[in-house]
Amino acid sequence: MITFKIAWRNLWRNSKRTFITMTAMVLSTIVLIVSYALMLGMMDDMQHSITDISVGQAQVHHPRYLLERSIYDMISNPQQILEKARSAGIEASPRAFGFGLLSSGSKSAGVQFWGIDPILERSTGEMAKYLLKGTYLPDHAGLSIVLGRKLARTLNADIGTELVVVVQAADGSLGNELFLVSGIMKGIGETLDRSLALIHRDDFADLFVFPDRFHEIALNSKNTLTPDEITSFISQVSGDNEVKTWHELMPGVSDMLDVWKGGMLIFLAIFFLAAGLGVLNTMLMATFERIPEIGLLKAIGTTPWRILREISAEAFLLGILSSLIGGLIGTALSVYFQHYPIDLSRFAEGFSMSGTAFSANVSATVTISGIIWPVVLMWLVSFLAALYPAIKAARLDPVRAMTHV
Amino acid sequence: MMILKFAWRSLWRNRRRTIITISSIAIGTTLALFMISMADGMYGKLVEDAVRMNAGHVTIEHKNYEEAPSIDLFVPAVSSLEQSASEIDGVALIKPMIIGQAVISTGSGSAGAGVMGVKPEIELKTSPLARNIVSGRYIRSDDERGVMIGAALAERLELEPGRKLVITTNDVTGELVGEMLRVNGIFKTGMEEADGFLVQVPLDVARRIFHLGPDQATRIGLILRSPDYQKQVIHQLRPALSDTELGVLPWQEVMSDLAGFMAVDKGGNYVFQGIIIFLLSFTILNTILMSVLERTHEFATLLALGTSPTRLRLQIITESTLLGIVGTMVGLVLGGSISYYFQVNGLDLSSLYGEGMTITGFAIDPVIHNQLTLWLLTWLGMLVFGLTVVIGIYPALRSTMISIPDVLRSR
Repeated sequence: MITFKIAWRNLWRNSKRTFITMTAMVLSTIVLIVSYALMLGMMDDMQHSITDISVGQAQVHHPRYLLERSIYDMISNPQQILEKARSAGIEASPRAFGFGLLSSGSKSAGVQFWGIDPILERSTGEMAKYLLKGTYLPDHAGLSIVLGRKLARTLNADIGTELVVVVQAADGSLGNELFLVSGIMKGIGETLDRSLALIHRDDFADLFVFPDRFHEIALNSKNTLTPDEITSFISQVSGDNEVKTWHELMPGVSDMLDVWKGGMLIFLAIFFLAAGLGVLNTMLMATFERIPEIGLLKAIGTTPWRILREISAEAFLLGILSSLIGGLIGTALSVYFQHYPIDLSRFAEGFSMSGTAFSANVSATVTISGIIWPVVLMWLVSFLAALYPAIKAARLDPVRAMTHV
Repeated sequence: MMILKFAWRSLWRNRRRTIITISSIAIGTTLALFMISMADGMYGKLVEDAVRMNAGHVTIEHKNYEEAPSIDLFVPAVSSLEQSASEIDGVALIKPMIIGQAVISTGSGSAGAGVMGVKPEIELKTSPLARNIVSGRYIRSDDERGVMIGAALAERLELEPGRKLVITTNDVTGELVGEMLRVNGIFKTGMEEADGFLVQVPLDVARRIFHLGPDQATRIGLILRSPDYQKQVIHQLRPALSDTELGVLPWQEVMSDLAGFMAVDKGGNYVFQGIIIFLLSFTILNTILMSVLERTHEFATLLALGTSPTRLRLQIITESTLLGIVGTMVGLVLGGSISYYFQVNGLDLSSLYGEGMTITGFAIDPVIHNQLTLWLLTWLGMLVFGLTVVIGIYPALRSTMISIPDVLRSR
């Protein structure tokens, strides 16, 4: 205990030096914790924007559906899968797809109709939040239609425009109907922008003569489960249907995210290196400057071992104190950025890519490891950086140490 | 001159302290240089690929084309424009293109697609698309019925090289026209927009389909030797086009989605650049401040011997300036060579993931090449040097604010 008492007093004997070393450590810890949290936040945001709009964390299909997109390759037991998902708190949205022709005046375009249940779709994905104008599909069937951005432009359609729909129904007959545009989506990726036509599942059933059958079930646990966990859980009841994670469904996007994450990890490593070396240098210098003092201690009979103990105790106290202060402030700042994201919309409005839309905000994600790592690193680096000159000084001849400059 | 000598000698009197300070500056510069050049490399590649595959760094097109792209808004006299553009400094390649929308049909179905008429020999020199052929071969300008098709589109329509397809579209007069073509090859870029929606045909075939004249095209894309020429080239082209229906646009306006993406990601990147520069300047401040504070005894002696305070301050500022010069130089050389190494050899990110990562699309390259520019070296060097000099001012002012007898007695 006495060692720590002496160490504590010693620290404040040269308060300027202690203060500089402490600020170095405190600030580095803060910077590391905040940048770690910001990077994690950016990665999370990217991932969410991919899974939370329409894809979900995993999807169920008939094994041939994704290859051939034939209306007859439907999921054999949708109700069972939906119930299973509901039992585990996984949001699930059934979708039926069909191709057809939309026309307005002289303009026409081939589209993919999505027959959805607006209530389930809203709780599974966030497509409803990406409306450019108008309103989302009402909860009950009523011949309303929501269009992709570029599709609406091709058709020259606006809210309230009446569209003629011609499709080939599942029974081979020609389906014909008039729909009213209720909403137009924002950019959410090339494919959807060009071909998305959302309609109510009951309208879809009437139009395509295709009641209560579905081609796709999107699953999203809002990150309480991992995609792999969802896949293995749903596989228990899916029978001969195929359950795939979003990584398998969108390999290109998944790869790009991986590459981007790799770049981020390198940046993070550089930050750790820069902060670590900064503290290393500061601590090294602070201890080297004390070599004459250590020589004096030695001359009056302090053993090398004791000198080492004193210096380590000082470094230990200094490290603990500053990493705690830094940790606290850093955590507070990260939590702040978690609730109040940094707004980058000055630079851009956000963008869309491959079925996903990214926001122009950078928010932080606070994790325990994101706080512990910087604190431990700072503490370790400062301790080791003090130890090296101390060992050197403790072994030095007292006369030489005292005259050391 | 004398002061410079004094400063230099006193720096090397305590060699260890000086080395620590210099290493702080140098390491900070190295890391910042590496990080910024790596980020620039990542963005640079993305833009460069997209620009080369699409309409170039600078695009000449009809004034109203961007608002509502339509085949009848074409560039009438391509060859004379090509001629005048080729005389502008910085223009590396000129790619006249015809871009239109069409429906592709085969026996197994039909799909909407973008048709791109290009000069194959130029595409081979620039476009990543022309290099990423998964089956068949790339078109040649004399292929009368050749067409390149994206992998995803080919899969949807069950097409292979040698199979036939029909392109249906509206020609320049609005008339519905159809043309039978034969698949020459299939490309896969990893970009959904290209693989799922694009077909490429030789320029003359596109002219035949859309009924355009031999000297007409919808866009002329200019590929520049370096993106730095962009403003200058646009500036030089403007007067030549002033009394025509044509306009000249930077890629940022032609591909606004990509420009938006870059801007968001760059915004995030500025935050991180700011953080690293903050860390760097803070470390410099710490080491310089400490090295001056530890020398109060020396300063007190000098002042007691009659050195004027001004002179002492000047000497300390000179010292930190020298530290700044040496540290920045070492940092630039070190960081520059590391960055240059990765610019040449690339940093393979897939090794970070071990065996688990397989890249499916060609456009997604897991190898990052740093992009080191003279401009980056200049501004970062100036910034670090400037920071060191500014940071040195405060300790210099502090150095003379001491009570000489107290300090001298304290030892």
